[in-house]
Amino acid sequence: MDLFESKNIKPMLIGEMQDPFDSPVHIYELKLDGIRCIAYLDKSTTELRNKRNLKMLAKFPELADIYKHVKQRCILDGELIVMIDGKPNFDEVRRRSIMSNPFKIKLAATKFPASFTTYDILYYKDHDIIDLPLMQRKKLLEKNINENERLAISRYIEEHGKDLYQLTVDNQLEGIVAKTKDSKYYLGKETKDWIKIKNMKDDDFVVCGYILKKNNVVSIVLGKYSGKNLVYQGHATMGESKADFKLIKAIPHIGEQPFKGLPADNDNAVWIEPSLVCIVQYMVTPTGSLRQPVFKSLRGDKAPEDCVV
Amino acid sequence: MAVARKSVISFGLVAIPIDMYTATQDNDINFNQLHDEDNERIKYKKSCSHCGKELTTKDIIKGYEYDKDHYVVITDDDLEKIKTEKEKSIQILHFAQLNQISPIYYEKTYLATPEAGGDKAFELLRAALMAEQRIAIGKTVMGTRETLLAIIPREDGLLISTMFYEDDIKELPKSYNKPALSEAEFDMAKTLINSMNTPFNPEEYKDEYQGKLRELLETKIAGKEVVAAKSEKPSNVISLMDALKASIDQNNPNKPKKTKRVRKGA
Repeated sequence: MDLFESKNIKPMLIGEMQDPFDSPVHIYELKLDGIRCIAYLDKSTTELRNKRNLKMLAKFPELADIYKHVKQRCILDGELIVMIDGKPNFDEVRRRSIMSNPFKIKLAATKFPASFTTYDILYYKDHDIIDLPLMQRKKLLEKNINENERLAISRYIEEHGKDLYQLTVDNQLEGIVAKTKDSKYYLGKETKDWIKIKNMKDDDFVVCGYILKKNNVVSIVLGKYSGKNLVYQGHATMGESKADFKLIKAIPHIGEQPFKGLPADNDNAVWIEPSLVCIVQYMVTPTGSLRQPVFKSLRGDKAPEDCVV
Repeated sequence: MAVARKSVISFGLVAIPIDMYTATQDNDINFNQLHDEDNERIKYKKSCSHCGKELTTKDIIKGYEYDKDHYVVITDDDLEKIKTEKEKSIQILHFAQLNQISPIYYEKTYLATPEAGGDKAFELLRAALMAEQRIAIGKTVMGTRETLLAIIPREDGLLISTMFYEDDIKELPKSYNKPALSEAEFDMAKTLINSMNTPFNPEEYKDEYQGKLRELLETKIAGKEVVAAKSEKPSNVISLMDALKASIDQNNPNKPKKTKRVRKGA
């Protein structure tokens, strides 16, 4: 069935994480910290879907007009981001994505408007182009789009992956993505043609409980499954005012801690049913333990049982 | 919109996996209570009415007031024991005419879409209900309660409405007279009704007070933001990306042509 009509695309996913490298067969782009989206644009409408095919425009109404800035009907792959102080701000994107009151959304859209940065085109005019090599798709992408504040084309450089990576370290950006120049677009596949090179690593954990600290800070107690048992994985901090904490607080409490063994600094923890999964960002230490772990967000598309040691 | 719950409609021998989303939302403006001196939020503290001690969640248990100031204490264990068995699927009990059910029975409405693998059976159920102008009556367990449901077809998707039980519905609190009507009066009233008959267009109606309230807030917020907005530079992803790219080009002056320029739109 026609990709544009069925509007059911699962995007291609990054299948590998590596240290920075230079390569003549790759291009390098910034990894922007936002929400991965597929945009279906024709001459009268914008349809924006996230990875799970949920409609996003109600949350980001300021992107409703981006269809006006493409020349031909197309499907674009890219990242929905909000820039604050010159950088993509994931917290703001996340905060907006769980808002529902249209007035609050309107206020947020005025104060911190989102933009869609596209790095791939999957459909042009009347047919899909996923079998074209990446560099040809990039050319079509440039030809088809008039950039403005709300719709941008991702810049890429050739060969100098290490230099670009260093710049993201200097500017405290998330990292870069390397893509092989002749790669096709495989719908819904994790592929080694796309490689992420990240400053910060992240991983998924089960939210097992929380500890209220001073100054509105909360420590989230993290766990992972080993067989049927939950294994303690440490803490990640977050602000008490974060929208995700409301969701965590709403989970029913359980009387006892769910782990077999537990370090001492968990006396004041409130234990909850292990039903939520969260993403935690951290720097990697040589020993493999978490350094400066920070709660990034909840993720609804992964089951707790799938967070394994 | 997050999935409110996942369920399965079991209908004869087929099981249709579905996602349920809340169908309505309250868009009203809500205010927070603030302290008039420093504009900070008011917090509630829980305390015991007898000893005055401040309490946290750990100190609080549940009781039912069966007589004035007399309570029976109910523990979580007590509740756990009588929980209805977790029957997560929605079992269709029978079908009924769409217009036979009084709106008083409808409680909260969800929108349902099929989950992967359920598309065909879902569409079959929806289309058949639509063609026959029927709804399905079913039961499921939500939380700890056994809940009665109506499954109502739409052009796009299904509505699932939770329903009140018969014993939740109140009777008319008092009787009133129904005086005899003359035919002329009755006809006149019917004529009047028919002369004002137009289709119901929900988009024609808006809460005008809420609209004015929003305008008021926007004006006040805009006044506050003016100061902040001026000091902020416009931060745009295009300029960020161009700046990074330019600094790479600078570091590699030997092959400036190798990094392709993105053409600016016409």
